Amino acid sequence: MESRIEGRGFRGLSRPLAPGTRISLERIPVGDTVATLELERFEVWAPDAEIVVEYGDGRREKVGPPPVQYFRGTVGDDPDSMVFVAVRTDGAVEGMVISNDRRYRMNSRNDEAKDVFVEEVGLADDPDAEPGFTCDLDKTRLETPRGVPTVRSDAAGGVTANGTLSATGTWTLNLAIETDFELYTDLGNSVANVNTFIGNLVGAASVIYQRDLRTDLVIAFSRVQTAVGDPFTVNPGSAGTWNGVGTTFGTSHALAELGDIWANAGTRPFSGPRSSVVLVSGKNQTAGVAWIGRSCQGDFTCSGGNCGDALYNGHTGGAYAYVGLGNQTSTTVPNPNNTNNGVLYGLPSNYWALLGFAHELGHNVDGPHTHCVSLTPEQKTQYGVTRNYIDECVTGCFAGPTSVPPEKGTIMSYCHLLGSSQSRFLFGRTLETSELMVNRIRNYINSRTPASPAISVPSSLDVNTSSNATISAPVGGITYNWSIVNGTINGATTGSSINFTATANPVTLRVRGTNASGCAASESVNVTVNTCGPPVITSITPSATLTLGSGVNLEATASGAGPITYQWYVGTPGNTSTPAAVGNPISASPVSTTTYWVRATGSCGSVDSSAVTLSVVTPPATGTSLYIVTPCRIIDTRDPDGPAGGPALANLAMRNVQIAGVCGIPNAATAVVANVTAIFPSAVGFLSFYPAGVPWPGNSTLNYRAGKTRGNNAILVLSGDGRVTAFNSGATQHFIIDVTGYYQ
Amino acid sequence: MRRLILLAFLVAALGMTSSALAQSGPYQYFPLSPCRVVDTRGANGTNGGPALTNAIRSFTVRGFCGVPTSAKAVSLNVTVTGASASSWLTVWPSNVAKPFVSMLNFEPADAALANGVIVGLGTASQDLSVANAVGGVHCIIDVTGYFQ
Repeated sequence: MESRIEGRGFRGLSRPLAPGTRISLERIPVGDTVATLELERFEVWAPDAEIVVEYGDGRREKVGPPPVQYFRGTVGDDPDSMVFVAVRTDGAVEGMVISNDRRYRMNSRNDEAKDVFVEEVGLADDPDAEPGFTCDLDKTRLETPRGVPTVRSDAAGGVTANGTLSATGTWTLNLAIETDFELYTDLGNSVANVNTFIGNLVGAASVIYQRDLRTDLVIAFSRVQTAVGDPFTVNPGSAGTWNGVGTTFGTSHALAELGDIWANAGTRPFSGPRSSVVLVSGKNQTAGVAWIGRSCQGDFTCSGGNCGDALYNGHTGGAYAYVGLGNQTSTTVPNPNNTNNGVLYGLPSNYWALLGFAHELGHNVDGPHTHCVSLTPEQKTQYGVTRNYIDECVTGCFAGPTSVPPEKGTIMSYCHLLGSSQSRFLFGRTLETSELMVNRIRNYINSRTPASPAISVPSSLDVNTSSNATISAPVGGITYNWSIVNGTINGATTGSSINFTATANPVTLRVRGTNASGCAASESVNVTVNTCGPPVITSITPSATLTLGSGVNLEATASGAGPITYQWYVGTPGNTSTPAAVGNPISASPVSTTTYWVRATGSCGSVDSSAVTLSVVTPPATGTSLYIVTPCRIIDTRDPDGPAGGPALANLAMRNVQIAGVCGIPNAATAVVANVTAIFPSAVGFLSFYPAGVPWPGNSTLNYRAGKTRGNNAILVLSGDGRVTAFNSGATQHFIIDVTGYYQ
Repeated sequence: MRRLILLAFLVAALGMTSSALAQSGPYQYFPLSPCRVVDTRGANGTNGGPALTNAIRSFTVRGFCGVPTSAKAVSLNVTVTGASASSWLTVWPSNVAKPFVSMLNFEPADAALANGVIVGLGTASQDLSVANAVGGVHCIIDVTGYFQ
């Protein structure tokens, strides 16, 4: 059956989301029900992934990852379900939903509407299906003894008898993906198609690995072959020459050739850490082969038939896997541009590719064929089954299909040979498969990855403080890779510690530690961030005019996240070249006019004060005595214009008034005892009188108010030439100065 | 007879409150360029905020604006602004009890009002005391010279 989500597409998901971001897709028709998909954005390509294109003439070009965002999750909260959704920047979708043992694909129509179709598919019903998929495992058995794998003891990874993990970390396999020219051709001779296909393939497989094995698959390297004559000469099913002898090639020959290419430093295309190298081939056979239990370990050279078959003698084995997508035509291979009635059919609609890839990589991480794992009498009793093997879809290991177990086969079985949907896309869900398969693989991965790096961060951090998170016990030979949700990492993301700034709560920090063999362990932590800012200065000693020889305490108080410390400086605010005394308050006794400022520093930054200027004045050397004169009017601006008359003083205007030499005031007078009056003001304002010849010192002498004529008693200090300056602030104003005495 | 006894009691009480007035001098005047020494509209501090209430505030004048520590009195221009009630200001040397005098009477309708005053200084580091009678008001003091 098929459901369509009309005209909506997933354009809303085409905008960039940070890895770890969780979303819900509601009202998605899945089979007979309408479901909510709980999804999380996740990474498929390593941030520093090396993605190259080979042109066959020696030219090699590096390209970026495909413009796709990957999401994984479940249908509702069903832990047995799996969802993978790849959203391109144009909103087009390729996805898979596995729920209740039924498989669906989600694909967009390749037009502007981008309607999303959700369609149930079975392996045998899949138009892309190639039911002949086989695995040449037994020929390449190297180290794992045939028979019942033993549940290994709990190692550092915390594997328990029931297959659940007590540790919180996840593991990562850094994969190197090889493709060949035939795949490039099958995918429409398009580099973008190949990379989109590989990203979706590994991403979908990663959903399976994450769910069952808590292991992420990350592409560290991939390359596209765009020319005939790529390094992969073995075409399984075709005649050829091997070790100088004519033969018919099988997938094992292709696997040996892959190992030889990577063992040779001259032909190895990538020197970075890698867990496994997987060749995804478009050549003739639909089959795969892989070395068992070799991920994260070095190469070895086969000799004397010790690798299970003489064809490997003299060739290289190791963490290699070969997945042949088979003799599929360009209309059946998972081509992102192939359409069926306008519906895009890219991966993972082709579940065969996903089955083969996840299956062969499973061998690399020590997964055996489940139809080859026989059960001891004790285990049969323990699990309450009558079967001789975990899966009995084939008799023994390779005798051919027989019957399907009630739980259907694991992804490591051959049960798919019996028809549609007889293999489940899981490593273990029953008791015995969990104990005998999942534990085994988890233990294998755990034993070959670095100790799970524990992140030590404070439980709360200040947002404006660039905060450090450190790995508490870094191990030599490990490279780190950090990512963040709800924040930005400042500077390097590959050190054993990082510096980050939060943008929202909660911040999720993830770190992946990769060892030299390419296996990695990951850890993440949520950090709640307290939003706070630098201190705010609430009070500070104001600027003042000091008498020479005097001192004053300079003191500031600030509020904010503490503790707050203070440091005073001399000079322009922000210039820290001349620190003043340590402490707060400090005592300042400048001998000349000096500017100070203070920096208040809290746990969320610091703030600089504005300038505090201490002006220093020297008092007069000699005093003066009071002399009385008959009260006398010096000036009345209402009189005709002249030295003792108008005009009125305009707003913000200044006027010098001659005092000495008038009304009996001698030239030697230093100040006069006066009454100053503002006549019938029209507005609010003030008059200021000060010695002529200096800048306005900021004083006031008489405040006036509309309609109120007022006088004020004042001592007016004279300039050396016996004048005062009158300054008016308010409205145009008439004023009077009367004197009754002077000082000399 | 009873009336006379009561009168004697009142005289004794008045005599107690009108005693202990001190004189000093004579002093010479030393003019200074006008200089703002107190502004309660500024940040809180010795010569800054907060606004006056009827509690006594003591400011430091000597050492600022050219007034030496030897000064015995200062000539000031005292300004009030932002009065919350009709009130008056008392200004006195901080080494004596608050006298029952006024140097500036004002009302809220006065946006600002000033008066000149010559007043002695106390001997403590905070040498000039000011108190408002009713409500709150900001006080600005400019110094125009000192006596010693």
